[in-house]
Amino acid sequence: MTVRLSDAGKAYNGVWVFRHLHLTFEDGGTYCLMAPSGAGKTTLLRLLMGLEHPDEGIVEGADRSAVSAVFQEDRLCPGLGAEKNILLVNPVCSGAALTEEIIRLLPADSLAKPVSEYSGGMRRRVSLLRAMLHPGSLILMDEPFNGLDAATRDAAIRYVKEKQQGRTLIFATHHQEEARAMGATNVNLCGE
Amino acid sequence: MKKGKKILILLFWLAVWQGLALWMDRPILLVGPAETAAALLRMAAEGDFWIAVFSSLVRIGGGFALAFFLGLALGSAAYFRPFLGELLAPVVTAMKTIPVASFVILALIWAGADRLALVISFLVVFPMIYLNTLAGLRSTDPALLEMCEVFRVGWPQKVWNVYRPALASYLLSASQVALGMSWKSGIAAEVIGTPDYSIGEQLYMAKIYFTTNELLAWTVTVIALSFVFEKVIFALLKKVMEVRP
Repeated sequence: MTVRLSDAGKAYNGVWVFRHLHLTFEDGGTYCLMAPSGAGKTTLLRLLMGLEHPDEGIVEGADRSAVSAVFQEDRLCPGLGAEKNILLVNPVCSGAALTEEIIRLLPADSLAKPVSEYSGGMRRRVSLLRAMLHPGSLILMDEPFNGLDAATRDAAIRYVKEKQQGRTLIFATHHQEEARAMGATNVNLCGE
Repeated sequence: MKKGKKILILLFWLAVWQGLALWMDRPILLVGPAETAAALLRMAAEGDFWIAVFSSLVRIGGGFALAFFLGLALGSAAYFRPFLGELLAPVVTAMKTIPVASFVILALIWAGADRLALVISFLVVFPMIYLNTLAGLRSTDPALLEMCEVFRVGWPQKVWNVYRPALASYLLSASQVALGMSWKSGIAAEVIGTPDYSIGEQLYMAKIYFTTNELLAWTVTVIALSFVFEKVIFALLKKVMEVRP
């Protein structure tokens, strides 16, 4: 899925977050939005998710019915376990295969617990699993590896790369090493 | 609290009650727990007792059930369609603030004695369920709703996994209060309306004939019924609202 922004701009209360933004995300590519806080990384991702609309310009190709996402916060149902949180967005996942996927990133004894009892890092990994196991052809991630220690982050990056399977992936981060490890193309958000 | 301790506390108050009855020595004013139990056993041996119990249970339970489901449905509708909430607000405020006694008299004229307990139980329970449904749904995490929007989570899944847990604590606490209130108000309405074959009628007759032992036996019956009704319905609700990982 190729996504294109032409002269796109977004403002809140009359203040432009970004303006005159021209970007193209090629089908199957991996892109990293790296910019200082407040530059509009989250806003751009929200535009692509269809949660916001541009105040000027156009966004093409971001089909809302084909988006998978990792939000800045985990946004998991606290009373449900990892399995049910993933099934909520992807009801066709089969039980045994899903369990196998989960234990690649999480300890097996976490399966019976609600995510409210997980550590922050474990919840982050559930968010990643949820997005990667969802069949969306455009994967959008806002600081997806936040809160993970080095070893877990490396495992999570390997998992994301393996599961990307030719889909377009756009993620925001503050860490250059994450961009490198993901083999991503850096995207400059400085339209104006 | 441990079970043994609970029983000891109950025995203490029964002893206080018995002591008070012995000290007063006026059965027309107060009889002890032994005489009350004897009257209850005698009454329970007659078919009319069970007819009265069943009839009151149907009236009050029916009023509660009607108010619960309608409160839940209209509370949900008002959350999704705020205009409906604005439209219903004056009615709900009136139901909440008008004294039960005024409702009893009006309902007696409009619905008749037979349906009075059902109507009063409904009027007392409905605003509690309606308002708590609305408050519970409003407490739903907007970030989770956005997540559902992005992943295009279906309605049934969203209702069960996102709205239901948000609603649970509100609905459970409202139901616990409402269950007790439905019995209090329902029996009070029956005493005023004295419909045939009802606990209220029996209480009224006991008052007329100064049969204090029967009055207390019926009161104990109401307490027991209210207790069991509350426990059973609350346990069922808790089961439905429980979120399993």
